[in-house]
Amino acid sequence: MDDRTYFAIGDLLANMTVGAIIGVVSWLIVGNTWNMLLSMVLMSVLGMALALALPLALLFVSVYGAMEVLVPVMVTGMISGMVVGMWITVQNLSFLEALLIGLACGVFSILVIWVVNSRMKGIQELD
Amino acid sequence: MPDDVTREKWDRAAPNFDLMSAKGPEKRWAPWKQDLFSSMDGHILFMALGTGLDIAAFPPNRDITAIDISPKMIEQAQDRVDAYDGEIKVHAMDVHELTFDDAEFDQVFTSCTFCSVPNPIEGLKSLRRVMKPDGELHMFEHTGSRCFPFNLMMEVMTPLTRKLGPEMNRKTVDNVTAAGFTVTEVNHIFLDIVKTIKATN
Repeated sequence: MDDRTYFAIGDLLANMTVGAIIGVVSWLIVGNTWNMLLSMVLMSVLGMALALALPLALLFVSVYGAMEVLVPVMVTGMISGMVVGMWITVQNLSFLEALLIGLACGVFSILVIWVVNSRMKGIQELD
Repeated sequence: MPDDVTREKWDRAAPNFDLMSAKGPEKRWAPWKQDLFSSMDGHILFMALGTGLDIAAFPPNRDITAIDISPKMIEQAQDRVDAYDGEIKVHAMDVHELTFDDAEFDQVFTSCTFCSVPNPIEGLKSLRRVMKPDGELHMFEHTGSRCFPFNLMMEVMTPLTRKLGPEMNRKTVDNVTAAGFTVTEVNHIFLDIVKTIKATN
């Protein structure tokens, strides 16, 4: 996690927003008669691609940073698409539920990336 | 042979470059760039200047030679060059065709540059030629990742971003070694994607 509040809030905001949008997109695309595995795979790929293609993602990049925004929102898109896509095949979801699940996926993704980043960053031991 | 394709790509990007890069990315990276550039000393080559966004992180009172392949980028950078508290001499030049003498520079600095150089190893070899035998290379770069799923994402992004400018899947640390430098420090700033690299000639 960036120790500057501006970027920490920006990371959360970007991933919550993209997660919610991809959750809703998945809700619009996937039907409850779909095969669960197919839905998970398709929506994770589509979610990742859409997260990159959303003009909103570029707006967040211009305000909060390049790789630090693009990579997490792609992870969020992948997870949000996969989770909501899977969920719909086993249980009917309302629009609001899909949006909230997507939003939660965004929070989860950025938290995981903050943890992974804290372990990876810093001076590396050279081979 | 002049790399017209790369020059034209960056000439096209120049007028709107700051819209995407001037606020978020530069603000995010400022502390690490200031730290990297704080070691500027002696006869310095900076590649590639772009619209001059990095100048804000330069320490004052340095004598810097800067190059960029795009004359349009240099035009955009002019106000920042003029405002710098020191001297920056700017040349429109391709890294593959540097006109400087052998062993002319003590240090070479790059900033988000080798994501865009068409032949990165040849470009780095070209930088080696103009560096003194004990010269230092200091790089702030984004690269590909070695970790799933980030490596997959960088591969997905690259065909899109290549058309606009940078490639996202470069193995820049390996390229530095392949060009004959000795890597002395790699500092990961964001995951293993954004990093500083220090090397000696």
